[in-house]
Amino acid sequence: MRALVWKELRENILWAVLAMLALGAAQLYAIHHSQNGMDVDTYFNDGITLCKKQFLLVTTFGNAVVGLGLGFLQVLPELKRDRWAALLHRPLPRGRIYLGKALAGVLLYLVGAGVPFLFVVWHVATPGNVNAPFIPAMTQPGLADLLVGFCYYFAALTIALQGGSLLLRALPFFAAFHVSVFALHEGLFRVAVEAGLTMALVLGVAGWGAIHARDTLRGRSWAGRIAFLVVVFYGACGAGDLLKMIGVMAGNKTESQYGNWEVLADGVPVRLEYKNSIVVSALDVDGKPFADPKYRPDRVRSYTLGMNTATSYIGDSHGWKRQSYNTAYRQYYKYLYALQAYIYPRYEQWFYLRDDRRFVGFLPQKKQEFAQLGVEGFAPPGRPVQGFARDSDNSQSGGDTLFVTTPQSLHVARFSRQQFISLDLPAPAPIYGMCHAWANVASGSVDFKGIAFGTAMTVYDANTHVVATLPYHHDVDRWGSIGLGVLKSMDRFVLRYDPSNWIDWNTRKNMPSYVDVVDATGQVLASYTLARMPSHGDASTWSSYLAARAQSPAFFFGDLLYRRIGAAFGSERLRNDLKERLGRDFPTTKRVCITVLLLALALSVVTFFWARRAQLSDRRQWAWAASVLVLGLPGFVMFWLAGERPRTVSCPACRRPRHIAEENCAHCGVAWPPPAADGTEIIESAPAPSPVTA
Amino acid sequence: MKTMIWKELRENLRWAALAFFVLLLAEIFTLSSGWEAIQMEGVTLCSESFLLVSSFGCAAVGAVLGSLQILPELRRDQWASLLHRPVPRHVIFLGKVIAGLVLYVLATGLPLLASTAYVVSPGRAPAPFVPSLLWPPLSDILLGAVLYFGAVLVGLHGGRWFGSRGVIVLALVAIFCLHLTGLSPFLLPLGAMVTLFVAAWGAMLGSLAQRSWASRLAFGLPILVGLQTGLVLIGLALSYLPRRSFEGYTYTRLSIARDGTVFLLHGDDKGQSVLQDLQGNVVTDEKYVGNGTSMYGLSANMLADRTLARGRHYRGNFRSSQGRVEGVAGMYGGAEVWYLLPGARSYFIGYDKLSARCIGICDAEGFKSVGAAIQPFASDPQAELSQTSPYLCWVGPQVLAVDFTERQMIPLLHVGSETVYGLLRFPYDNEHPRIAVALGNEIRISTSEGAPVFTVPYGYPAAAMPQVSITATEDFALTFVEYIPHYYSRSVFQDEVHLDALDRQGKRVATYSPPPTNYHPRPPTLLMRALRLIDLPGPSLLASFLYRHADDDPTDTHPALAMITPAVVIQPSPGELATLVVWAVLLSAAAGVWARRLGFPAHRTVTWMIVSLVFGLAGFLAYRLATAWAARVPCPHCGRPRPVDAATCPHCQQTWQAVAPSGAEIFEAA
Repeated sequence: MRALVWKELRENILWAVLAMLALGAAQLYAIHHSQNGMDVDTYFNDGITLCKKQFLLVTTFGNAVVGLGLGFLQVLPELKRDRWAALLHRPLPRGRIYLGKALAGVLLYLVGAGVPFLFVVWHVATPGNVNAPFIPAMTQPGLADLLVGFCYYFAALTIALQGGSLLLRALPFFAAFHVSVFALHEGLFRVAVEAGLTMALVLGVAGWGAIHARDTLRGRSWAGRIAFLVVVFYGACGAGDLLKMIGVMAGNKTESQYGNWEVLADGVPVRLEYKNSIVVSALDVDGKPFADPKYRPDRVRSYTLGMNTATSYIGDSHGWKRQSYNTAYRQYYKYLYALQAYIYPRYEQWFYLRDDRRFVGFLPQKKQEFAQLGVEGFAPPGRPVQGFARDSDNSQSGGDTLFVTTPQSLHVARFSRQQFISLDLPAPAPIYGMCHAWANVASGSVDFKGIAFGTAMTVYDANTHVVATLPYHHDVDRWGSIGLGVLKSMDRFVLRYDPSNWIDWNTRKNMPSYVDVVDATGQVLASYTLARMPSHGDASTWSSYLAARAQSPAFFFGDLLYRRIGAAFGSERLRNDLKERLGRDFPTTKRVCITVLLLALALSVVTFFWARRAQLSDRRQWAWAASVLVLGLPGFVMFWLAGERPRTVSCPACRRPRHIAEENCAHCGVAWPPPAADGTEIIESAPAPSPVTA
Repeated sequence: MKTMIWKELRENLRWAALAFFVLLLAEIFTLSSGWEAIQMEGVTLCSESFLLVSSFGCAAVGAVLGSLQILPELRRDQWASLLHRPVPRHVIFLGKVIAGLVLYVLATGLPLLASTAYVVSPGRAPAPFVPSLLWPPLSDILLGAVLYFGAVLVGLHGGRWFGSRGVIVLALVAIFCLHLTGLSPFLLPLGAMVTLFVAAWGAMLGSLAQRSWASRLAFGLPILVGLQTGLVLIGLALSYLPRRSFEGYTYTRLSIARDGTVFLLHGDDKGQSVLQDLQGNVVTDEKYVGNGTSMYGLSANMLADRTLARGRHYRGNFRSSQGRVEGVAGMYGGAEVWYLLPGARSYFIGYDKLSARCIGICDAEGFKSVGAAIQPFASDPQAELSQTSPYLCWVGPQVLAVDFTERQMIPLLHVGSETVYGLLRFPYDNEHPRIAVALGNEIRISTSEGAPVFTVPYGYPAAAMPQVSITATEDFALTFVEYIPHYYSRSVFQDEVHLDALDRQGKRVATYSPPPTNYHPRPPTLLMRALRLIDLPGPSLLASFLYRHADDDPTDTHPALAMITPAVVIQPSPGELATLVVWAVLLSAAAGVWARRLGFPAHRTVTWMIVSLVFGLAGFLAYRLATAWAARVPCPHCGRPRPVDAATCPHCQQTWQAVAPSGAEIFEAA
């Protein structure tokens, strides 16, 4: 086998090197690609370094292409008859030949796709190359893509080695595609890796089976057969994924229609109605359109106030806990986020590292870390820094200022001066939250910060001066979700009171909200009561509607079971998912469940009769029908494409289909008739056998 | 030939059908997925996503069809079977090409036809259709044909994949990339197609030595382009290796505070900045240097370029829908979206976003309902991009404010015989902005309703300071007019900038001119100097001569120049010129020495030397790859390598030795 591995390496190493260079160049380009086309990149909306959208685009598609390419190049050129015979004419069993190819292919894939990735990781980790800190966990999305690339490699081997129709041979590719889609949408790195490795293993075993018997499952071991059927099943799922994407062309089944209250630049509430994300009406609190033409639906959004919510409740939480957000492993903000860069008196860029709960400062032009900030203040790079408390919150203001709160404390960091100052609390602790608000002025916007205390909202300007303390004027126990806005004059403020989050949704959705315009002394100048909006409808596409109903019952119920078990073992994420599906979304879940079951049942019946017509044995008829009942539409595709049916021809006696391999017709029991004599026979024919009666 | 065509059609029809379905789905998918994205990127058939599918799709279909027609038949038996027909090779080639092109046109043309039908049918896309939107996708189809011939050439040419075949692939990549820049959208693909067709024809006829001179020349061109592309790519990759270092500079800019106070902002390449007043004192007042104040000073917006009367000339390229259909209102909100159809018969047309149906037009006579007779504007309406409502534009001497929501077209100002160079609402975020109209000799300022406020003559000549920007304090106590050279000028760092402050009556109350930027480019590293050797000497010198007076960087408008002279600037220093010439001469001499050692005849030696002299390193290598080289063996007399097809050794001039008799000869020795 060593000789075979060397042969494969020698024959394909140049392709692997070519892939390495192309992929490396593309990944480097993606890392350094800048939105503004400049060398100093402080635009992070598309992600940061190894979690940048462009970089992940390259790893997602690039690794798949390299895997597929290498797999095909190892097998397809040798499928020409002479070369295939020469390959197999070795004193090695076929399984060993496959193993040799796969071993060499894996090494080549690691050269083609793994080396460039490692190089880019090294490049990003080396100070002076990119304007962002390196966090080892940020390699996770790229690693997941690298592993999924193995699926494509083994899919290519299986496609090349498998005989049969083009549709059947395409299914290993779709199985790998399904894993790609899964890895893109899955939130946990571990699960994505498990899926990728498992599918790579299954595809590898399927390819191993295919080298033993190209056109039939019968010559394969049981593991090869099962693996191939699994590949076909997931291939059908992958084809479904593709159809779902394309199916968006069919348009929306239901249009999105919703409304919300916003506040105009002069403090007056406006009710905006949206249809498919387009503002179709802008009404005042009495439900009438505004006379001022600038508040017409097409332009009203340019005149609304930038408001944010500081807190979701005030006072007693009544047992409610803030929901922790699970950020998917492919999102950069799972690992860190960037503050706004500022230029005066020095160009600096700060990042918050989520796991360490500390900030690091970068000089964008040198692309090097120059300082860090922890709970004890600023420190030079490299020194251990104690991170902020778990319940701390932070928010940037203006250019170089950062507000850091815990329930009991308020600190301000001035980055440019490297000062970390504790501020006296202007109202009794605890602090319930903090929000950003800005006033639009002729040449831009001016930043303000709202800190929500138990009795009042304190407003700070960007230079950390207290601008106003605004006492609450409503029952904040029930209307404790409080937002802040600042009018253009900068001495008038807007407080918006929405129902507290501890109140259950059904009650909350029928409660009004309030908007107060107050001056800097906290005196209410105007107050508005906002009626609750009628429940809105989300847009849904035909493709997602059909995809939900075409899924396998095994997937549908398996998913519910997985979440149930996960919830039982304490997973908050799975518990919330399950709660939503069996709570607010229960009517939809029920409808989908019924459709999935009915479709599986109908397909199962069709399968049964099809198998019977194809003259499968009784055991296999029932086995296939049961499989399709469990696996649904993908199972039916599996039976259609991969279920081996005996070849039949029309019986010369009864004209009904009969097995070509059976001596007697299953219907009329007549044996094959001897060929008519044409006088060229050299052996005397035996007397014709007497017909066998059934 | 008919049989040949049928054979090819039969064999490849299913692949063409597959390509047709995939391309059709992808194109319709991009057209149907979200009108908002389409508006931002361009309109329908000229949207970025559609052109992405169209360019990559056509290229892929062309390359795959070309490869499928040749590569599977290259196996020995099949190739022999193919050639073993009672027809000359060129008939086989033409049969393949005709069938291939028919399949290619069907696979790519029909999806475009279907996409056009989709866009034209009412209720599908909230945007108008004009035939010129078809030009970019049509040029993509032509580009795909280039890839088709490229694939045929790569298949038929018997070189190595990591040699001449790979180089041809690189040439195709270069042509593809140049096409995407909008460079000569039809001429480039047509030229490349003809070249590759001739080269492929020659490749079908036999080895390089057997081809005609035209075919050899046509083969040499993609080899040269491919090699230069490879060298440019290597150069690009190497330029990333050394740590990026900023060029040393310090600059001083004028900074206008919100209250109209003008300061000097000094900065350097380290990112350090300091704000000083005009007397040179460092500003410490929190009002000006407090946290975040740098984010909301006044910034002047460009009003006009006084050397260019038509603003539209700045926008877009061939692949953009700008110039064909321009979105003017409703791009960011509201249920309606309005477009300008520019050109000789220009008018505005509106669509409802939700129903995707036309809702009306606005022409020289005002707003009209759908189906009314169109009275086009007397000339192309000109305006700034991305305006808030109402839309300000000028049609010849007439300045108009068009409010599409209110269905009003209000004439604001008539400038008589003057030419309008620019029209701007300023300051950008002011609730009651003013309107500035840039004319030949003056700027007219009026209220947003068109009432004149003041007129101010330009303070500096158009030749030196063509670009004029404007802003004002919130209460219009001060209006600032900034004069700068061309924004994209290569010498903009060194040039002067002037800022005039005007009072409420338009009287100039102050003029500010910061010192020019102190710019000290660091000397290039040894590696960067070495990379300059990949320039094509002849074309580089020609480009230097042609653009010797150019102010703007010509690689912006002529991207191909970046391939010819990737390292050397268009206006090189005498040292750079000398290096280039010396390098070319050295390469030419090396070619001469090598050719002599190989025993090349004089005409081949001279050709190689000239090609090396003109095209530098790429030419030196291209000649090696694109010409026939005889195999060489050691000479039995002198032991030095000699070509097997030459009667005498080029070194010792000895003929081949007669084979020693072995006794098995059946012919008597001569």
